[in-house]
Amino acid sequence: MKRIMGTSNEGSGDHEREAGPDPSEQGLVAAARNGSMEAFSTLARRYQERIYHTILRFTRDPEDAGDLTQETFMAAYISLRSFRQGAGFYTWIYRIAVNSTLNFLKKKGREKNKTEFRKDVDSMSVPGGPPDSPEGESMRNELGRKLGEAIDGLPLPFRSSFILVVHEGMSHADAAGVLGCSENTVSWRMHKARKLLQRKLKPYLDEVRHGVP
Amino acid sequence: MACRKYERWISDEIDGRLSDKKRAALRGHLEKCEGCRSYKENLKLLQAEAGKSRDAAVPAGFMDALGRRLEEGLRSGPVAGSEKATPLAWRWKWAWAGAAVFVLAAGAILLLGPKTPPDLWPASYEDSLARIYGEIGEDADLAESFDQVLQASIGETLLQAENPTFWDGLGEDEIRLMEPDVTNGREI
Repeated sequence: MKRIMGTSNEGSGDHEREAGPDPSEQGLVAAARNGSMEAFSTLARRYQERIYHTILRFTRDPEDAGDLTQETFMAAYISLRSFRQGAGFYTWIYRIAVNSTLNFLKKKGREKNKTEFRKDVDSMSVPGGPPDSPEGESMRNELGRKLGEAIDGLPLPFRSSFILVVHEGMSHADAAGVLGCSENTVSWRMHKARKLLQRKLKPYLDEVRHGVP
Repeated sequence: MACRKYERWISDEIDGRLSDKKRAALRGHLEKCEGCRSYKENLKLLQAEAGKSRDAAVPAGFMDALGRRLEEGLRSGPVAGSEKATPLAWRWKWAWAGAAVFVLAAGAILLLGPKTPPDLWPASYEDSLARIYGEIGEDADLAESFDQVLQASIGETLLQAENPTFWDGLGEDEIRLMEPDVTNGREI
């Protein structure tokens, strides 16, 4: 699991631990603020892959993720004035990326169709087999695939919290900072997301845990 | 109902944000509750499986192409930091406009809003009694009832009047108003 903004889930919201400002980054940011496109391109090249993968977790569509990555850096370039010198550039651009992506998903209306959590997941048959057997391995792969689908089917507020906390390895405080809500809200959303996922994937989870009865 | 609370605590525990006190309480509950134990095991498995997900493979050259696209966009696009900040003069204009709207709204409420109800707290006992008798009018029954209430009230006041400090707390108007009743009703 990656640790992008915080190194621990016990964290209290220190966003700059890993992506803290380094001198070369600060120099590049200062140059970019003074109009150096080359400096900004260097920053963009440095972070574009991480930003792209983060966006892809939300959109699950490489083309949309590519467009949104470009949009993110363009938006950052335009609003460089509002970037606080001394803060982590990556943290700042990460927030822009997540917010742009959430806005994109809301606008696209995909989430409207997904507010009803997918019901097809638990209607499928569960491949059986002991955990160490080829069947067991196949069962785990199937669980992983179904889990991806189930996460995609979560309502957006739950999904965004889940992705940031579980996939991106953020603390609740960091996720709350990115999403603009309280830690308690993130905690509640995590609980609801897990509960929904557990309910929908229960047959798979039980089978993987116990193997074939 | 209790299990719902513990389900949330299980989620918080997985994310490392459950206090020691709650963790101990959760442990106690899990020892007794098979359902919550199973729930916790399932969440741990979910967490492990979700954590395994890796970044999708990116086709060769994809990132370079993305970088070139971005650079082209930057060249043909806006200037760095070109997001327009509101000029100071305009900020002041907006502030004055906001103040003007507030004054107009306040004036409209004062002029057109509901009128203040008539003064319900007359300045003196005479005014108070005159108003009550005016409302009683020719209604003899009502007048009799009110007199009884008034007499009872005076009686209570006279009892209080036995207290030597009672008169010290009265104003001149009050003393003047009460004097005839006190003199006629009872010797002090």
